[in-house]
Amino acid sequence: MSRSPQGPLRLSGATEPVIGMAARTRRARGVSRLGLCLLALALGVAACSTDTSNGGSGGSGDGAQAGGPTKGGTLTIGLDAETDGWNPTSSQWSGAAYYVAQTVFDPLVAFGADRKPHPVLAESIEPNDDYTTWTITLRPNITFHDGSALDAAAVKGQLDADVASFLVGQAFKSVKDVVVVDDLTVEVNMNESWVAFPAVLAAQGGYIAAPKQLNATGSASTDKPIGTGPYVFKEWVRDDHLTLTRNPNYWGKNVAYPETITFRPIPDDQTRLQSIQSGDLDLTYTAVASQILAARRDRSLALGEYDADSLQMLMMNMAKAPVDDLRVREAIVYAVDQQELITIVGRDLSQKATSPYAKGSPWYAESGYPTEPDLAKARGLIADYKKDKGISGDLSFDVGCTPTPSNKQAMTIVKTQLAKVGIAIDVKYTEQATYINNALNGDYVVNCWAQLGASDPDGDSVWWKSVNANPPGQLALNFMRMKDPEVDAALQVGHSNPDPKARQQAYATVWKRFAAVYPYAYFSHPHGAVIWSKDRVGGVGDAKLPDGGKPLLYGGALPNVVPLSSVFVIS
Amino acid sequence: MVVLSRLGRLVSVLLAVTFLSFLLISLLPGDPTIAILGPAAGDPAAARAVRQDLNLDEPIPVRYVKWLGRAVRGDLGTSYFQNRPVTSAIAERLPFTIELMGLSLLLALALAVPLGIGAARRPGGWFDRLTGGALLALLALPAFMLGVLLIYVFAVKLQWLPATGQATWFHIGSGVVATPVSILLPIITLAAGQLAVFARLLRSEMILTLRSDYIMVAKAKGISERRTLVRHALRPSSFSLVTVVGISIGSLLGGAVIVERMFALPGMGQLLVVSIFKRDYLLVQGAVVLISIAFVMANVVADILYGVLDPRVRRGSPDA
Repeated sequence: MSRSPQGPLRLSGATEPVIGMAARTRRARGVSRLGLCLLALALGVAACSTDTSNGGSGGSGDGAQAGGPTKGGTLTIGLDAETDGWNPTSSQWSGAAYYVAQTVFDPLVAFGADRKPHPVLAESIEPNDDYTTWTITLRPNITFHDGSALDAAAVKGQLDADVASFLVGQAFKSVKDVVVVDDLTVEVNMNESWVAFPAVLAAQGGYIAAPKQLNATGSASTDKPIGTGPYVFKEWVRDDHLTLTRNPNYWGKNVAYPETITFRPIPDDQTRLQSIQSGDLDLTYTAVASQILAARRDRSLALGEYDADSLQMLMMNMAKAPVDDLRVREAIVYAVDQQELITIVGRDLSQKATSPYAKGSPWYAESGYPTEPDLAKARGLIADYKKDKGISGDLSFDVGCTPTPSNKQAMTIVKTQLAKVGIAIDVKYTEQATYINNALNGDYVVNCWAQLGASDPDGDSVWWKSVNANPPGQLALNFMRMKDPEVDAALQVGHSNPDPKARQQAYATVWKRFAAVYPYAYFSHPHGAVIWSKDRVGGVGDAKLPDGGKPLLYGGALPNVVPLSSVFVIS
Repeated sequence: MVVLSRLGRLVSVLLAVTFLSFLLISLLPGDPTIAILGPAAGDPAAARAVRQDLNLDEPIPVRYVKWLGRAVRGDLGTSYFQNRPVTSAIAERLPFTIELMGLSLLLALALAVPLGIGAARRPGGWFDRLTGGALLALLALPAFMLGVLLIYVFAVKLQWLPATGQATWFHIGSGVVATPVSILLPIITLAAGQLAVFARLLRSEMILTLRSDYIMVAKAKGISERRTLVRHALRPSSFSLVTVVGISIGSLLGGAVIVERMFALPGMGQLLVVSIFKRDYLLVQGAVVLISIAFVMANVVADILYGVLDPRVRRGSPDA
């Protein structure tokens, strides 16, 4: 049996120092990350992913160092959103949901600081020679909170439900069937070679729920999670709190310090910050630049900051005029001044973007995407287009966006920037559900957007494949309706070629195609921070994976979700 | 008779409001199955189930009648996002909003009555000028601004009270309520605007009443000022206040949406906002029905109280 040099073959060991615990720097902005975050994470293909490339800061809060981890107390965490349910096969999980999920459930694998999947519930995950079959071997003697055993049948039940789920199943489309080999072993057979399969198991579909929960009907399957995790579900009052208590029978060692964890959904970023300052919360997170700067000024707070891989950008519908014409898309790209947006909206925290991954990410590659505006070139392209089409006056079209304060600020600036090259946009603000559905249906010309940056780019390929580019009026996950054979070929290499260099090269090709056909006009990579009270919380950033490796902090698909296994309440 | 006519009005208002809200939701652009299911609408079985459940293939009037038929039997449908009956979702949140609004109303009245009486006692006096200025400032201050200010002072700086509704929650049936102290800041925020309206209104009415002949007689008879103010002047001055309190239920509900959102409280306002954003049609419709009932019922109670306070109303006197 050959082994991939990349090596998610036998998932064990493999540690690297966790990404920088350094200064609080970087930039941020707030163009609606919400949009695709929820949707993509629900699909299990992780949009909004991020990167710690430039040194997400963090590590233990200062106050944590004094006495070391202690058991007991209540840890209260502020989340930015409520979740529709806790069924990993059918609910729509955002980053907020993963905070809860990591305590109630365990995933089969989790990403390490080396950005490779490490085993958690799985003892190993091994492919066959051509990556068409993956064998998952489970750790023995693990039980769910209801007392039932974690065995191959339970994992098969979950994976079958994942595949059958229209939402989560998008990430499992290459799975043909799941076969129980013995009590602790399942084989997952694929329709094609799939080298990045373990990465999917680190997302929603890989968090294993008890058969009792999965087989329940109605709200019992979504409202009362039963996992194998370090905390047991106690109570959930929607939009107010979810309370968990420590699992005395947890299989992992040296984890789960607080006696109780309470999660509180507080959508407003300012209120969350005030709540941690007033002592209502112990830990929270934000991607709003003004709140990060305010938190930095508060000496009682510690911050773990990160630069995200995900992108804030304009997304263009390549099946709709006038952005169906390359000249118009290119003109938009050359008209957008990333630095101006970063300075004004992102308060100089976020960083320029040239591809879906930020510098420092293993998936980053030079793409040739312009980071400086070229107004003369943009004007020329628009003039050329208007002459061809017989258009006099400004070229005008609508741009869709969600009405968050930072979006409004960004779009005001972009409107001015585009006006300089003869493009008059009318920004239409719509609430989130309509906005996403317009994208799905192709009922838009240009949208402000936040997306991409999966821990493994294969997770994002669903958004770029030509097969998913149905025409406007039909649902399509390729929102841009981009049909590019070169992108398709490169994505196939990334999906099936076990050679890491070949994969990196394939995705570099994709980024270059994006810098040639311009489905997106990038604004920046966002910047965010996990914030906690130095006086009340310790151990943030000290977590270890079951194999001893360091987990990925402030990076991957969920940069704002810190592992809670090492976090303790300072008494 | 009055009660019956009010109940008749309640039914007609409910029919009008529910039909209009049903119509508005139905006229929203786009396919409701996509709005509800998102990408999962690509699953034909799921899309078909939603279409059948909501009778989307039938004309709007037929859909409304079918929804109404179920609603009168207590079946408001199932929330797609909460995966449970709409009635359960509402029952969970309703006690909290009733508590928040009730305590806000009580606080507003408890402060407005003495302030209004005190100000009316010496119109143009120092107390009247002081309260007049302060109440106008309170009226001009939007709820969200006041909330932010209260949070900053009492939660962040002084750390006396929680910044959000984090506190001990009690379950009453399937619903939740909080200890009043734990939600003091939201109560103050919501009460502030009403307090200003109530106090200014009562002051104006009291000033008019205190100029009446029978008050002059009372004073001439040597009845104490306190007794004159509270016993003889307050009651006839309260008619407008009672009416306004009934109407204020509407603005309190509107305020509750902002306050619950700001303080992250699990009430009807929060439920409604989240449901609208998620296009949870049946839950929005159920919440609209409930809010309509609450509003109309509050005004029915106000009308009944009006009759209690003024016997001329009960008797149908032409002087009334």
